[in-house]
Amino acid sequence: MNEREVLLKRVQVCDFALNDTALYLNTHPDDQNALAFYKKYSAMRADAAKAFVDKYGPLTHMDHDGGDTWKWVDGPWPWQQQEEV
Amino acid sequence: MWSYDKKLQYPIDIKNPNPAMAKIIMTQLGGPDGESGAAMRYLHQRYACPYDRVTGTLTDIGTDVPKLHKGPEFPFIMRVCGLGFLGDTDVPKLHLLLPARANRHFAGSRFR
Repeated sequence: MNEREVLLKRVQVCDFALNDTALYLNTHPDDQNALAFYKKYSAMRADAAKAFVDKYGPLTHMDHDGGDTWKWVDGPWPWQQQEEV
Repeated sequence: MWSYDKKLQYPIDIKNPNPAMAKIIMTQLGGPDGESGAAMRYLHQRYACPYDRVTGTLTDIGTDVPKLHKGPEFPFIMRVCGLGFLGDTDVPKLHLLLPARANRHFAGSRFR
């Protein structure tokens, strides 16, 4: 994996963990272990996303960097990657 | 990937619930020529699109419509309707349920 793929993979791993934990928390809203797990991965996700976005452009259009060009429409798109990520 | 924000895209305040109109709106959302189908077409067209700016725009408009469809508006329409989605076979008879003004509004449209 190149660096872009590594940084994106971190975001994907965190999102997957957060997604599954959120489903669990829907039916166990007071489980302190799950809440702590969610908090931990939430912080990791924020760091991972920032590292990716700063270097390789937005994951959502809300990630606009305030610069003088709109990078949201720049390729490559996720399905245009040569390697599996 | 699609994600959900817990807010309305546009404020909604239905003052006069109208089950007949709700059924038309539901068909416009999920029917054979509805917004859901349009959204899926946008999202599939972008895979063959040679221009990044168009790919981005297809992604954005294909994302907005499911947000509307799966947002609070849709269950609200279901509740106003009170009947559930009975399918498009009911659409040709809808003019019998609508007030005259609404029939004039839809005259010449495909809701006949």
